[in-house]
Amino acid sequence: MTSYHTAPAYPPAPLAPGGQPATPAPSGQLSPPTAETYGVTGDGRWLITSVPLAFHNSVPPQLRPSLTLFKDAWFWIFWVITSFSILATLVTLVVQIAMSTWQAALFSVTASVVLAAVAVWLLRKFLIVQPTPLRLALLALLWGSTSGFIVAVATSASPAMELASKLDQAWLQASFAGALPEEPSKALGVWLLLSMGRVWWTRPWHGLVAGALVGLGFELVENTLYALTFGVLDGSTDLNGALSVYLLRTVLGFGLHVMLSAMAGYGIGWAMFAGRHRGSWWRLGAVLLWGGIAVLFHGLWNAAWPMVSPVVVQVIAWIIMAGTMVVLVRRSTAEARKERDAGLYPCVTIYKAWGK
Amino acid sequence: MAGPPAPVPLPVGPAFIEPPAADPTGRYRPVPTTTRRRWKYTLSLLGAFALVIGTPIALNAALPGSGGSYSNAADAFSQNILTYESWPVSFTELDRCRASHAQEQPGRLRFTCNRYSVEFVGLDGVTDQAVGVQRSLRALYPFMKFPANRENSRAVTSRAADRIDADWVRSAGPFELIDVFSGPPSSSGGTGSSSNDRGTAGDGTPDPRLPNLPDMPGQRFPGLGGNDVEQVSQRGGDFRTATYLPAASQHAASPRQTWATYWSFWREGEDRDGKGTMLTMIVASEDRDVSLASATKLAESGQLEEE
Repeated sequence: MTSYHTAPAYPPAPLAPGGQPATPAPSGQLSPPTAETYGVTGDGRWLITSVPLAFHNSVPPQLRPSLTLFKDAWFWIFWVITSFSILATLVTLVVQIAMSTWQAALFSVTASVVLAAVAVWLLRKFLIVQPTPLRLALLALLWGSTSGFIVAVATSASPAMELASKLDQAWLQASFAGALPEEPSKALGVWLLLSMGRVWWTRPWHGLVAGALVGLGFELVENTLYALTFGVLDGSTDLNGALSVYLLRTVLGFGLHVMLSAMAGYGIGWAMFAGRHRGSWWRLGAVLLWGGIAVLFHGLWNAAWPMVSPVVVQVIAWIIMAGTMVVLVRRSTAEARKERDAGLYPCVTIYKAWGK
Repeated sequence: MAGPPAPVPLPVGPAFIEPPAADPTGRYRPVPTTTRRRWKYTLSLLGAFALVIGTPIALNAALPGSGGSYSNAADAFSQNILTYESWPVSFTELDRCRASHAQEQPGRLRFTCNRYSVEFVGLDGVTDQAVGVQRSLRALYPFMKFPANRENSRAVTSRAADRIDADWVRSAGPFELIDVFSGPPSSSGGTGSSSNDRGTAGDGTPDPRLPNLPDMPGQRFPGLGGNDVEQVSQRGGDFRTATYLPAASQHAASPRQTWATYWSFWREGEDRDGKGTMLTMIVASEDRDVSLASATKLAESGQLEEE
C-alpha cells in the first residue's frame, strides 16, 4: 500500500503471485491492474500515485517522495535537441549582433529578459498554472527560445517557402515558412515537457500552460532577432530601429505565439491526460484539431494578402485567437476551481519504478 | 556557518498514512508509462510530426524547378522593400532581370541580371543623407568594406532623380568589394589603397561628421564607409562634386574581384520635418565597366508607380 510514512517515495506494496499487488489500489482508484492508470501499471513496472499537493507538502520532507523531472529517453532527447539548439541560437544571435550595434543588442535582449520575467510572474498567478515549478517554466521558455526556433529552421522552413513559390503563391511564402515548421516544432516541445514534467503537470490544461510558456520563449527570441534584423533598416540608428520594431511587434502582435502554442498545447494536453473513457482516435483528433487551428491562424497572420490589407486580417485573427484563449482559460479555470474546492487540486503525480 | 538542519520529528500517529487520491473518479489519466502505451504515443507523435514537417519537403522535392520569381519588378518591390508604400519606385531596366520569391534577407531585394546583380534597400526616417547612405550600404553588405578604388569622372545626371521625384541623389563607384574577414585582395591582387580608406575627401581630409556618428559601421570595421561622394545632386540647383584620386592599380586582375556601384535616392517626407525616405541600390559585377554602366542605365530607368 502506498504510504508517505514508513519510507520515502511510496514503498512497494507486497506482491501476490503473478505480480499483482496483494492490496487494492488506494481508495477511489479501483481500475483493474491491467490498465494503465493510478496504482500499479499493467506491466507491473510502475506505481503511479496522484495526491493533492497540500497533502504532499504536509508530510515531512524526508518522508515524502522528492518531486523531480521524469528521466526517460524523451528527457535525454529533449536535452540533445536543446543543447544543439542553444549553440545554434547563440551563433545566430552573435551574427545578428555583429551586424547591428551593441546598443540595439543590449536593448533587445534586456527587453526580452524583462518581459519573460514579468510574463512568467503573471502566468503563475493563474490557477491553471499551479503547481508548475519555476524550473519547468524555465525549461519551457528554453525550448521555445532555442529548439522551437532552430528545429523549424533546420527542417522544413526553407522547403516550405520554396514550395509556396513553386506553386506561384508568393503571398503565402511567410505562411508556409512560418506556420508549417514552427507550430510542430513548438508542439514537439510541449509533448516532451509534459512527459518530463509529469509529476507536476497532470491535467489537460497543463498542455495549454506548457504551450503558452514555449510560445512565450519563441516570441521573445523572434522579437529580439527581428529587432536586430530590421533595426539596421532605420534611417538614423540601429537603436531607434530596434526600439520601434520591438515595440511594434510587442504591441501589434501581442502574445501571438503564446496563443498559438497554447492552443496546440491544449490539444496535446487532452490527448495526454483525458480519462480512459476517451479513445485513441479522440486523442489524435484533439491534437490535430487544436494543432490545425494553430497552423491555420499562424498562416493567416503571416500571409501577404494581395487583395486586402494584411493588418485587417491580422486584427481579426488576433481577436478570434484572444477570444478562443479566454474561453479555454475560463473553462479550464472553472474545472480547476471545482477540483480545488474539493481539495483535489493542485496535485502531484508520483511515478515510482516498481519492478516486475 | 550553520550546521545541517535539525531533522523534522516524525509525526506521532499510525505507522501508515494512506494518501488521499487526487483523482478519485478517474476523470484523468497519467502520462504514458507502460512500454506498450509509450510506443503507441511515440509512434503517433513521430508520425504526426513527420507528416507535418515532411509533407512540404516531399512536395517541394517532387515539384520541378527551383522556386519561382516575381513576374514584374513592381511586385518584387511591393513585397520586399519597406519604403515602397510611401515611395513606390521601380525600374524598367529590371524587366530583364529575375528576383526570386525567396529573398535572403527581409527588407532587401536582389535581382539577378545577365552580367550583374543588383540589390535594393529602403530606409525610412533618414534626416542625414550621408548617414542614410552609409546605413544602406551596411544593410546590404554588412561585412564588406568599400575601399578607395573608384572612378573619378562620370557625368552627373539629375535626370534619374527627376524620374522618380527624388530630392537628392548620390552615386559612387565602382568600388572593389572587400570582405572584412578575408582582408583586402591587394595583398595578392595588388589593387592598391589610398588615404581615402577611412572616409576622407579627395584631399585626404577626414570627413568631420564621421567620427561623431553613432552606429556607424566604419567605427567597427576600419575601411568600411566614409563619405566618399562622387556625384551629389540636389534639387533646386544646389550641386557639388568631390574628386578623388584614382587608385593606381585598380585594374589589376583578381579571380574573385567584384565591383560595386551604388546609387542612393532620397525624398523628403510629406510632413517636411526633415525626415525622408532613402532608396539605395548596389550593382555588383565581376566587370567593373559593367557595374558602372549598368548602374547608370538602371538609375535612369526609374519610374514612379501610382501612389
